Amino acid sequence: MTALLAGCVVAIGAAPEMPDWSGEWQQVGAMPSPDGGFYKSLDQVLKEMQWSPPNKPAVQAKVDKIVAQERKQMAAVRQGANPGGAVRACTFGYPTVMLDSPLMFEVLPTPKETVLIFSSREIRHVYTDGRPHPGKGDLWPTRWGDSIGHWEGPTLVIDTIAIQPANDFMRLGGTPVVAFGGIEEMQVITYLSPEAHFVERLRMTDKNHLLDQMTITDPVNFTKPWELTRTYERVQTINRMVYEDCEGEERNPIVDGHFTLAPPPSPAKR
Amino acid sequence: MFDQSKTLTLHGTIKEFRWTNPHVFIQVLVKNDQGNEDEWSIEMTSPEHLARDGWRPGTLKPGDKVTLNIHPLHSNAKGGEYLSGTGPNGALLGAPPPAEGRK
Repeated sequence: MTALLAGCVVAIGAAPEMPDWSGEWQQVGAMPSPDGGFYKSLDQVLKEMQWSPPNKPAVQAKVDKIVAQERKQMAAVRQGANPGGAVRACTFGYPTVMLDSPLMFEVLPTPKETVLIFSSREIRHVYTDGRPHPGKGDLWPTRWGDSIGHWEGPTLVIDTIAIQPANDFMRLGGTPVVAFGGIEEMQVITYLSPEAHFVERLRMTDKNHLLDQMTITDPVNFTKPWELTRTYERVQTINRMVYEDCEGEERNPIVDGHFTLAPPPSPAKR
Repeated sequence: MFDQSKTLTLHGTIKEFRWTNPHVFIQVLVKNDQGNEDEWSIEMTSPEHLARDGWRPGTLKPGDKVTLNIHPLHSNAKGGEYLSGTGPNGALLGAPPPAEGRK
């Protein structure tokens, strides 16, 4: 016995047919360059990436203030000042892993759960077995939130709540959404509260592209829902996951008042 | 840390291509004005990012003659940030992309 549900035929009682999204994916426009920066400048990224959240006036004032401080700091770093804080966290947190991330990732759809695995070893679990989000007494904010989902034909609809800002990333004091460009260029875009609610529609547009249409509502920070679109392309240069690892972060010690290089020991000599 | 207003070109010989996390380093021997060799440390990004750019642990080997374009350290120590370069077989990977950028 079959039934027609939202454009896909499923046998009642049988597991729905899962799309094949195997392989490695990377965000279009966020590919890192060999110097560790990005091919595009921050100003170019800001123009192209729909970085215009509907911030409430008080939030925008807060963002403007920190952006002014950041721009001043970036200019000072270019002139030789030491960066304000060492990068210790390899993880980006949600929603940055989806919105502005140089990490490659895999997507593994199964009938009851879809798992997204990122090269930073961050994992998103999207439960599609019909469960609701945990109740209030059983839910607390995390950097990746709580995600449930369902399939509408070939589209995975993901509902995410309970995020905790990834405020240790870049040590900027609370920067859940940050745009990156160039080398040592970044800018706070907005702040998200634990009340932020995310709905994503993730689907394959052709064999080499995935599209994520995200709507973020945040009654604390936004005047209206924020709509964003991101495209991910299939990685063509390597066919397996390669992980990031923060081991050896002491590579940039301060010597005589300057950050300098201290390459990690040779793997052959460890 | 790196002086991005300056680009330095080094001509040298690979001592070691250190394929390590979190970042990869090129250790290269460069002759100074006195004719002696200095060891420079050139920092790149992570193996994960470089692998997607087409680099592999064997892309550079000890003894390879290379020309490396770098942003030098502000401190004037013998180190810098990798930009582009050429190796024994011509251009190394990782030269800046065309003007239109990557997709």
